[in-house]
Amino acid sequence: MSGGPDEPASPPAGMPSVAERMAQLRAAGRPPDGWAGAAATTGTAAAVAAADTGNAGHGGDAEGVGDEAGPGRWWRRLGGCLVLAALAALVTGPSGNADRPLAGASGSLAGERGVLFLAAGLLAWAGLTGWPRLRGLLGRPAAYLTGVAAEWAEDVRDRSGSRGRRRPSLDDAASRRSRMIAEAQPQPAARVGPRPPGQRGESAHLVPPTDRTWAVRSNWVIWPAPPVPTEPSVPTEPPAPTSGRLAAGLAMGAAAGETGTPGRRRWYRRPWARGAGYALALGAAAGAPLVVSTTVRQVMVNDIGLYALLSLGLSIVVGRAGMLDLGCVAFCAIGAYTAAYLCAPGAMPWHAPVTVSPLVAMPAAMAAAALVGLALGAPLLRRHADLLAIVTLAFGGVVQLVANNADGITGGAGGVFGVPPPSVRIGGFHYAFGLDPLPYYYLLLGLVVLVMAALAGWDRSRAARACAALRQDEVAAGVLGVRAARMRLLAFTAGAAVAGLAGAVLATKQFFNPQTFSPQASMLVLTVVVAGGAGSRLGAVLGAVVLQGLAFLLRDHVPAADRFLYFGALVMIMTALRPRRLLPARLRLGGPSEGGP
Amino acid sequence: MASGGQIARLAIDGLAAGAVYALIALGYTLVYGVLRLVSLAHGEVFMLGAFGGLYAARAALPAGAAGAGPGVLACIGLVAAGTVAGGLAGAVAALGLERAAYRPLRRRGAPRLAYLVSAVGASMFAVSLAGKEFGRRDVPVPGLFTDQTVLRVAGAPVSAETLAVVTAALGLLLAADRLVAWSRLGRSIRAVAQDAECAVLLGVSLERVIVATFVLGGVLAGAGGFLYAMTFHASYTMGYVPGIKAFTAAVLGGLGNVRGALAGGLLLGLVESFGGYYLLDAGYQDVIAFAVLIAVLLLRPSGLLGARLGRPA
Repeated sequence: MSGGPDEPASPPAGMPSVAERMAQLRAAGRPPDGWAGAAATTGTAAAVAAADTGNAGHGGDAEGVGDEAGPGRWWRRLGGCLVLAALAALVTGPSGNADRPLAGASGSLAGERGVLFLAAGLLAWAGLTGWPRLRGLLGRPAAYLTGVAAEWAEDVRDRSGSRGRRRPSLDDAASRRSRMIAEAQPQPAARVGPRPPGQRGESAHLVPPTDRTWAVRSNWVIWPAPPVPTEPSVPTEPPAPTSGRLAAGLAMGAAAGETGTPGRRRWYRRPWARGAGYALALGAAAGAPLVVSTTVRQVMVNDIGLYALLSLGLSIVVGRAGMLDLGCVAFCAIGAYTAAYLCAPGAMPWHAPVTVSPLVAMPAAMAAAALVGLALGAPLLRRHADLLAIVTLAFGGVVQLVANNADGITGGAGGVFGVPPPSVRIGGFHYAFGLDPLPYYYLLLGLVVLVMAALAGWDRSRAARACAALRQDEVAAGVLGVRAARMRLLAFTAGAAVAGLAGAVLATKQFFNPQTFSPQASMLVLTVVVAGGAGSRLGAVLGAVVLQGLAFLLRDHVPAADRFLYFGALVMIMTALRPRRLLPARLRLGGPSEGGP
Repeated sequence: MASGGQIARLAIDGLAAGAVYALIALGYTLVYGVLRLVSLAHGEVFMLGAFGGLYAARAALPAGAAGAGPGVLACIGLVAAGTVAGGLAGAVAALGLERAAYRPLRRRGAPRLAYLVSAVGASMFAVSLAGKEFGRRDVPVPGLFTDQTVLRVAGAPVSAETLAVVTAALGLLLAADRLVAWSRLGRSIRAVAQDAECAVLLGVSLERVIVATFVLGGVLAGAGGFLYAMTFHASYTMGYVPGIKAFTAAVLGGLGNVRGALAGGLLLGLVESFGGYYLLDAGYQDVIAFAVLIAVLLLRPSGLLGARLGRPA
């Protein structure tokens, strides 16, 4: 090596600079594809940002909605639009069946429907491709007019003050001179080299000059460019907080989880406004069932209320601990069967020696679900937290299978009948829930508010800060005394407990059988959480209201079996558009911690 | 205790199931090795491959010959056609999955959680789309074989179907193992698995390796889907249980280890076959895989063979 990486910039002759290399690759019509991917694997946000800005001129893929299409790339975007249009036609079109598998596809793609979606796809493509140009075209006359107007106004002002045209001041001249000098300077650039032997010229990859460790490891030399006072590039994401800030946040106990960027506090962030907002929302939620029919009330209890509770539980695991739990409905099942075991002698073949009130059974169901969560999470989260998603998915299937087959314990596929509804007896006051969904609605509303309040407390706790630190940088958090496995286990167990509570309410409300707790239900809960914003308390509830409300309103237009098409697409689109919003703001993951995807 | 013939029958059943698990598990292991990511939608690739192979076999089967049973060569041709079509369908599905669910996130430098969530969305979408287009019932593969015994191993009859499944699966597994060990592509896959940054610096195109890994996994899973559907049937929800069992197999052998996936799949098939016969009711057979998964994670988290994909194969 001609020089160590610490040597100041004195690039050997003949090495292409980064800018030259970029120009060559661009001329060859080929983006340096190793760069973006490699930057993503290192996980440093800076490298990703560097790769993004480096590749911005190349158009990239058809999915890149926001970026400009380079020349020669329009057909990729066209293809993407047409494929998406065909998929949309398939999704909304008629169904096929096993014997004529192409009936659905041909029915969707042929005829008027196909033409319609083709036109929609073309329109979308034209809009995506033509809009920047169109905007420029429209903007030009406007800019011209405003420019003319500004000049005219300046002239008028100058003439009114003194005679003739205004002379350029000394300051103007000085600034113009310094600008000209700066532009005339040769731009220093990072240099990369030497090329390894046997390397084909076209597949040379550029290294973002932000990450020096690569160069050291691979005997490459990167000549970092000296800082040039250029205009700052627009970062796509705010830079990841440094571990120093992380340390400060942990040590000083600053509220790192919830608060946004410091700035002027808007009126709607003031305590009284927030209180009024909450009161209004609570009032609306309390009053809503009084003005609707019983069918809608049933939906509000079974589909919205229960799912709001479940997604609040899941949001602890997904939004706070940054893990994926696909078995939350299995914990719901455990809660439901526990409640049936405790409250009803006749509901299941297996029952408790003493019968307790359903309201007492609810904490017991929570405890049972939490215990099972602890037992499942303890071996898993110590070393294999990244496998939690698929293990909980398997766990959901196993719970359903056992509930289905253990006829002697759970009653098997027939399900569980006759868990008594809750009843309250305080002194002379006695009230028993009946078939009317209204009291269940208020019970669920109370529980949802309770869990939200508990989560608000969680978000201000040390545990929340520890989780946030873990999500951001596991190693740094460990150094600062955060026990990763323990925090993850805590979050997972808490999520399981909330799901168990939802299960107990479900058991007292209605008949249930193993099919109630299918893995699809878990995925629906995940959809609700993702749609509402994983770290948000209100978002989980609103997600349940909106998604399940839409599913109810559109039940005549969309077959129930097709709902998951839309849910799946929604999850993918929301994740792709705002991947970092899955985790709550501020202290969030800068990237996969150890060489992730 | 059962006779030797019974043991041999269980072993053959276990091997036939285990070979298919190994085919799927290889996809998990390759993707995990390269991306450090469990591809949650891999079971759906398997399912789509099964449908692709099934319809290809249906189209290739002469209408009149279905009842009579085609000749030996025709049978082999049909199995091969179905396997190839299944592999192609699986490759297309895996490519689409990578394109739609993973690439947008990679370009945005998303956190790991986003990949998992996006894969769950893709899985939901694929399952529902298959249910919508292919119907929500079990679809049997047309009878390629009249159910006849071709040979006996230790007194246990082996049907032609089982023989075809095991042969095709083992052949594919061997080919995949050699591909990863010998070819230029395999070398770059192993290089990326070992150290992605260094591999990129040495001229490996990461995007190309990722796509190739998904396609390789998709081919294997799709072919496995057709072989699975030959023994059982195809349905839109078929990806779930074999997907999880194959993942168990991959963990059993050591996640990220190609040989491990092979060994883990066969071993899991045997354990399930014998355990389902001797230990548990038939209804609980699926629990065995989960118990194995938890046991491996508890006792030997790195799997039986333990090594990473990056080690010399």
